[in-house]
Amino acid sequence: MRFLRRILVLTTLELTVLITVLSIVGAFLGVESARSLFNSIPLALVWIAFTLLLVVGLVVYRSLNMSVGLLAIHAGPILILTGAMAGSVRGHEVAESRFGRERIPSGYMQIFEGEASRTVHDEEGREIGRLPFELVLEDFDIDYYGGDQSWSLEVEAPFSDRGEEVRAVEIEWSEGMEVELPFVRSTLKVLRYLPSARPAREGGDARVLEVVEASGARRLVPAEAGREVRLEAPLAKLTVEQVFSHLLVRDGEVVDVEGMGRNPAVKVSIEGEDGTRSQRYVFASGMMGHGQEDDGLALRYLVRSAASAEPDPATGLPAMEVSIREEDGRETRRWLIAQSRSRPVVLPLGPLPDAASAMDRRGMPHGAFLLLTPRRATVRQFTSTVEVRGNGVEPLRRDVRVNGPLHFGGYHFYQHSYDSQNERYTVLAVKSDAGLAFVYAGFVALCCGMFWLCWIRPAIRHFSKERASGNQDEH
Amino acid sequence: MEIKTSIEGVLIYLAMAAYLAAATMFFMRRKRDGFTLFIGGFVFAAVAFVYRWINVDHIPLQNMFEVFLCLGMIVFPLSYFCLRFLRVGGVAADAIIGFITLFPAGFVFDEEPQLLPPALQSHLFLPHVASYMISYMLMAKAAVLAVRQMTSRDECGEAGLVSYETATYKTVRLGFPLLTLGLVLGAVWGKIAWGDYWNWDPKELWSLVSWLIFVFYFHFRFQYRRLFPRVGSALVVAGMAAIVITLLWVNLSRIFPGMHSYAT
Repeated sequence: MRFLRRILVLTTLELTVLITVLSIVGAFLGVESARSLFNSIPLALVWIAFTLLLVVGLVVYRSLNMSVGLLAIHAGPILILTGAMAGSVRGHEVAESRFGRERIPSGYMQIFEGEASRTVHDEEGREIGRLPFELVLEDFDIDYYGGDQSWSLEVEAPFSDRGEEVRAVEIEWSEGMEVELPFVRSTLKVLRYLPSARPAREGGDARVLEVVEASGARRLVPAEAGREVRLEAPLAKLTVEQVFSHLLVRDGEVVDVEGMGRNPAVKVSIEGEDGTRSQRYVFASGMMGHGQEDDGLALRYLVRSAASAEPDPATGLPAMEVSIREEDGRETRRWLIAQSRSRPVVLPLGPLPDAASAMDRRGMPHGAFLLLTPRRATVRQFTSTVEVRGNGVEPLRRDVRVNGPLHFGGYHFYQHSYDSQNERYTVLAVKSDAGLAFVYAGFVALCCGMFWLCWIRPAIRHFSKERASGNQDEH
Repeated sequence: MEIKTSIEGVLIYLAMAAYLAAATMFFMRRKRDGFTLFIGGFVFAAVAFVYRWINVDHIPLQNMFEVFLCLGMIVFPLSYFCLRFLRVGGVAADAIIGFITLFPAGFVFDEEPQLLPPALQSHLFLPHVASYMISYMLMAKAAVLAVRQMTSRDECGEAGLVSYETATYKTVRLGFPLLTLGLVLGAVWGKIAWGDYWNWDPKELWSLVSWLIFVFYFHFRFQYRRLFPRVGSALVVAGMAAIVITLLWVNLSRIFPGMHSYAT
């Protein structure tokens, strides 16, 4: 028995060292690699071995069973590991195959305001299951520190050839006051400011591709991916492949950078009757892009802003009419109309006076931009107000917040993400409760046993000794 | 490095000066003066902490400046508790630990207050972080005692006090439940905030490493204390090294990106 105990302690120490070393390795590997490592088959065997070792230890060392504290601190990890295994993906698979208990281990739900959903997706958006009840998103709200967002007017310098470095200067403005703009030889006057407005023309911005063929025939095509246009011979058709809100060439790859909006562009493919294909990029700035242009086609990408705006207290989004006067006296009037709480409104101001070339190596035009941009207020809380329906129960209405999940039907629902552009949908993380009771019981046992063993029992002994020595002194 | 001219900054510098002076008095065997200065340093640090709490309108344990201010504040109460109830010495070293922990708060970390993000708005914020802070200071004290045990021939330490090996054990035993509680509360909080009680985040893994080293220490000491007392002490020092990595390297280095990034 003594030999068995020695082996047990040695094996425990070795496994502890192994898990410690693997934890250090996992910390350097990163979250996803560490998750894969510790959920792999070999590590699953290590966890099972560790759990069995604890169980055997409770049998071999009688003293562990006779001391409440020792029993608790050794039983605690057994419960935690058992619960963790039951709650893992493999645990769910075993529960389904052995006991017929169908449950989705984890996933995400994207729910639009006013709509219901019971579909759960994975991180890539693929459907992985459906819940036996549905959730309706009644409202999604973001609470900011310091109240609602405010907006500022800025001029952004052209991108430097040193990298993607950008200089932005905020402009002090007031209605009717003319100010000089930095970086360009122009002045600006704010003619009208509406704190809460909407486009006076339905639809807001219109993005169209103008196609002018060799014969002079001209067509306007909505700039939407997948849109096709039949062309005159010897060409066959033009297809809009991709629409960029902000095209950038990064490490040799053409990418679309969300939220920037300075360099709208369209990628099109042109197919001839003989089957030949070519691709072309068309920029809203009018700069020439890559792709052959000897096919007789003239393409222009037009981003038309709404002609004007009108007050609308419902939007909470501002609009501003500005007048820009060039050095030669030419005046341009434009409306800047915010369409989203998180995206700036961008107005090109034209090329820089001293620009060496029209476009830099990243595909960006050498020009400055006027921005009506939201100030980055700090978020205090995200709240999704949802109603749970179905499953034979009364509809249940709850707020789901960060640190305030919804618990229903054997699942927890967490505030995970949201529509950052228009705040029209929420994304809830869905987690099964399988094994959770064991894990929490293990936590309680481990902590209570630890405090009993390390604090309370020694304190009782200490004060008992003091009392006993005090009594002896009296005698 | 920057000199802080704010009220918190000045109080931190006063606390550091008091701790350094206290350590000097203890080394000169002028215990009464040493304790007076030690208490003075604690008062300065405590006033800075309370002032900060009122100023930021939330528990001041969000960033590294506030964490190290807290650590510098709690060193005296813990030192006194260990001396009074556990007969564990090392008060001079504790005063130096207080000086060292206040140094980053006084000269390195930015004191600019930050608003609490949604993830930190929880009732578990205070108990989780406070458990860890108290346990970290106790383990730091234990590590110093462990070094004394490994390097000193005299096992008995000071008169009326327990030996260095026993002092190390008692201090670790005092701090380990709080280390465990911090780990468990972190898991519970992660479950409530993010949906998982364990995310394999670098901070979580290094916290587990710290905890496992001390688990190893207890089992090793149970079996081999008499044969290899210095190995046990070395394990305590290793545990403290893991704590330093958890607290500093994980938070400040870009090698370990993870969900605990708001602690920087």
